[in-house]
Amino acid sequence: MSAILDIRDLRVTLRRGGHLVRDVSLSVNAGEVHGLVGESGAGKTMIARAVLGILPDAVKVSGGKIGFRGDDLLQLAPKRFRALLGREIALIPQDPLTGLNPARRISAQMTDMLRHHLGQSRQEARANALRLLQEVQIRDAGQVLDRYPHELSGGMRQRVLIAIAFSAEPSLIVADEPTTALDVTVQKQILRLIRQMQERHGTAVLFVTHDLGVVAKVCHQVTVLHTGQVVEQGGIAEIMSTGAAPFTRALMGATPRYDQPADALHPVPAHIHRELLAAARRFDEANP
Amino acid sequence: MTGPLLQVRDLTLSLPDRSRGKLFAKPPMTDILRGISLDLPRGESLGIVGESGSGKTSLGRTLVRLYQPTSGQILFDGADITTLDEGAMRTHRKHMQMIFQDPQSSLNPRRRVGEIVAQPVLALGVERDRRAALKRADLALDRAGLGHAFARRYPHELSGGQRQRVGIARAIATEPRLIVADEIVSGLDVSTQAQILALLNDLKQDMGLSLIFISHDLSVVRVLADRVMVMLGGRVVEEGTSADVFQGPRHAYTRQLIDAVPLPVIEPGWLDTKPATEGTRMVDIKGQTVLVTGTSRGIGRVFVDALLAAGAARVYAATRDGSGSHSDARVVAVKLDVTNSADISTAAQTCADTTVLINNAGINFNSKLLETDQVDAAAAEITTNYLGTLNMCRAFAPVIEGNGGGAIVNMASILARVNLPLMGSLCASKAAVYSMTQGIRAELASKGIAVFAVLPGAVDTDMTKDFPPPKAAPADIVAEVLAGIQAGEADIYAGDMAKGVSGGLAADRPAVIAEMAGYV
Amino acid sequence: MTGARLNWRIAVGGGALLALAVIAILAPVLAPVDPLEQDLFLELLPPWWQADADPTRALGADSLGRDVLSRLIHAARPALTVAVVAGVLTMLLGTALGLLAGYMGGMVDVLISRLVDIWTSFPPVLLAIMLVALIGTGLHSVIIAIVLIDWTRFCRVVRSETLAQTQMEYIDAAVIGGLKRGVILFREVLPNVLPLVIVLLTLEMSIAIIVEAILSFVGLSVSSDSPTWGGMIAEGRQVIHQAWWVMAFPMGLILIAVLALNLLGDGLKTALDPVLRR
Repeated sequence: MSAILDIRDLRVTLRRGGHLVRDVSLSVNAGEVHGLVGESGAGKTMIARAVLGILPDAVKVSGGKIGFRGDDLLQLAPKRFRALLGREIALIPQDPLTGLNPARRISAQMTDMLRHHLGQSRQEARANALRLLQEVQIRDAGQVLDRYPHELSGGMRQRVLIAIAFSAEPSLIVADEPTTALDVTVQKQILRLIRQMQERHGTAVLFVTHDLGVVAKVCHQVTVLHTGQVVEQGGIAEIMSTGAAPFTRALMGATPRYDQPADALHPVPAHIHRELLAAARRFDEANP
Repeated sequence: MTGPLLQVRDLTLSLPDRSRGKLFAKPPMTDILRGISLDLPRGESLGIVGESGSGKTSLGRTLVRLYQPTSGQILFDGADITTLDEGAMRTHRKHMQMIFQDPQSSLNPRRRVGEIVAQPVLALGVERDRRAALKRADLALDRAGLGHAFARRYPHELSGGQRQRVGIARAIATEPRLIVADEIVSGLDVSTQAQILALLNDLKQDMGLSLIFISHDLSVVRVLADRVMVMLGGRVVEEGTSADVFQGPRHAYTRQLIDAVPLPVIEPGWLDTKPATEGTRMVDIKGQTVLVTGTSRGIGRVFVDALLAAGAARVYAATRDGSGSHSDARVVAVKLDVTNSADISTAAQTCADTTVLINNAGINFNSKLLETDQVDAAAAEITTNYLGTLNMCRAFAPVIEGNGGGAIVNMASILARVNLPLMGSLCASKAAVYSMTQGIRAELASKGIAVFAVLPGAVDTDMTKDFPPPKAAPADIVAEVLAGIQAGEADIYAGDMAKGVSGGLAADRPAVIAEMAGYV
Repeated sequence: MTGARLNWRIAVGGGALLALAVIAILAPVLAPVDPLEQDLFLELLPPWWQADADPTRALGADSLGRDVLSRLIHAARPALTVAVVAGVLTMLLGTALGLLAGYMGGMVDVLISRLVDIWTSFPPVLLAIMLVALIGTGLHSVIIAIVLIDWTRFCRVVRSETLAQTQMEYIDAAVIGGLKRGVILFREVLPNVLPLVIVLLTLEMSIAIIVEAILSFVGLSVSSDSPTWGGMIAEGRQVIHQAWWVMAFPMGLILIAVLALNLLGDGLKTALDPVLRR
């Protein structure tokens, strides 16, 4: 299997000093869902944004490379990089409402991508948009095309965004907490849909989430992050096993479960946080 | 004092829906809570779970009288607080506090943490003196695990978890008996969330607090709640001890909720279990009371046995003359002609425990539409197939709603989607049933009633002997219908032929119609 | 980074205003000559750096030979009086009504909001001229006109901000905490609306200076013999081809005053926000 995305020693730094991502390496193969798990401040969103080239102004990549099918995205000319975005690398955003333009019909937003990136005619693009909506299991796809985003439910909007993400048959999709804003029953449908689409199209997916439960259900490979460092990396079976790293196990123990009584819940022990923070400090001292 | 700390009877809440309001007219009212009753014993905690729009947050806010209920009664510590004004409420507020969902917006950004926590202590007269109130605030901050050093800080200087501890300190500062906590850990990281939950658990035990814990997250509720209430569409669909509800949910919706929670364990095939179509709920036949019309012959008769086999608690087998007997005691014969409105209203009373309605009765004249003497046959098809089904839905929707929700299954036909020569009026009546079913689905979803349309192909019964093969066996059709209901498929295309048709309809409608026409 | 920038804004804007205020207060002391003194020999005298200048008339003289510098200094008095008094009164009226509408809601809100809608449908300058024509000229008329016209600006902004604040959960927390409605309005809502009001006040003051200039330009402000910036511009307009300085200096001062106020408002906006302040 060839790696679609190959991140090597990625370092993301605040312009006024301080690292947010500390030499993270990971690779995602075709047809594979790679989970990027961690709590807030773990650097998972920064890594995803670095891949998409949309880091905030206050932050810059200060080292490493982001290999994408042989190219280093960080060295790519802006024009070539823009050509990749949407076509080869697509995003499924977190918030299905702000992910769509409220003032434009679904059809317009779906055909944009098809017409501009793939050069399809208006009729072709509309036919393809219809086919895509059917593929993401939207009933009455023809009617939905002529609706505005606010006329759809959250789950429907997320389906539309998934359809848009897959429309140009990208080889990599970055999914940024795609189900956090959804109800739990809808979340399951959307997770299933992402997996189905990804399997059918052989797409590599970088799946950002804070939810170990979601990770267990959709990911093949997992990278567990803490303060911008890789705590653990491996197949889902290893991560979920009792042999996992102490932080991963602690996180698992701190996750409430409806099938277990309250006394099974244990907050993450302070010393585990402390050790990881100390490691981050050591890194910063070695790499000012 | 003995007796429950909080007693709620038949609480309803209607709020104006401004999104649908016209410019000058009063906006229409929307029912947010529809008859909620609950008892909360002292020192116990009640978890309220539900998805967005279930009314759980509104319920919490009504209980602490941030909202004025439309009807019903709230007894707090034996006192009726349902209609108290703000002034009279103040004497109770020190005993009932609230922790809010968003620690960012629930703390005034211009006040120091100490003042925020001391505010209810002063205003509710727990302390008269400002300095004593601040002292109490310090104690509450210590108790909330934050430390009184934080009293001098401003909310924006704190992390999310610390802010939520301030919210907790404010709620416990007056030493209340009841705390309503609304989604208080939803924005927090797992490790912070676990600490907050542990803190609340300790406080609950140390202070003998009663807790109402509202969350969309079943797992979080399990940690804190002795009892659980599951809400849907402003109603309670299931209530019980948390161990019972989470280990053996009785209601299909609860099961669906639980089934959708991704646990951090590897479970191959989890994603593919019970594919519920968006908008329609899965309905489990087990334990339901089912009314089936048209059970004298054909599919209807098969339905009765299949329902018994699927574990239905009772089956009302309706026929036009009320005849027929069954060896199983769970079957009750009902006289019901769907074209007779008196019959329908009687049935709605005698079968008042119905939770699932299967509208199966229908007639079929194979009439030639363009021959003048056949208008009567067309009218009869519309009267029985369409109006009969509609009237049954109208009569039984309130019954099912009153029983905590359930399902309505309307048997249409593949002819609702495909039109055949010589069968125009039958097609029209089936299409009418199908369209009507689509229409009422959204209306009834909010009332906890799942609505299914069944579009079987030709079935091999005495009614369809003129129709050419392929025809499916009634038992197969019925099995597919029940499977579809339990899987939550909104439109159930039963029978091999119909499956092919539904696939074909999506791809190439004219070709399907041309092929179907070849049969006649 | 943020700290340095906002200090710079407040320092420059506030400093310029303070200087203007000192000039206005000390006008009789600072002005080199009597602003009303006419000297026809000095008619349209150019400022000091040009040929034929008179060192006692540093910024030249107008068509009646009056000293431009002294007139500028004295004209700062009506301008700043109007800015401060009209600004504050407008703020008080508009904020009170805006708070009431936003917090009470219902009929009160509907009444006040409709009143604002009707009010703002008149062209403001025309309304001002009409009002002053009706109640007579003079500084107090200018102030009344500004207050009666511009309260809507405060009312609108304060109403929507109050509405936004009442959606916040800390208001619910205050109800649960036993505070009375009035107390919640003044102790919880008002402090959160106040920064916006102060920023608006600086904006309003700059508008007041401009309106006063317009009214004195058309001769509807203070009596025509006492100097105003607007009046000076009106006089200078007639001799613009012979003596640009008569018009340019008052225009420059108006520009500086308005810029200083806007700068101050911008600086205050960030400085007064507890989150941005950090």
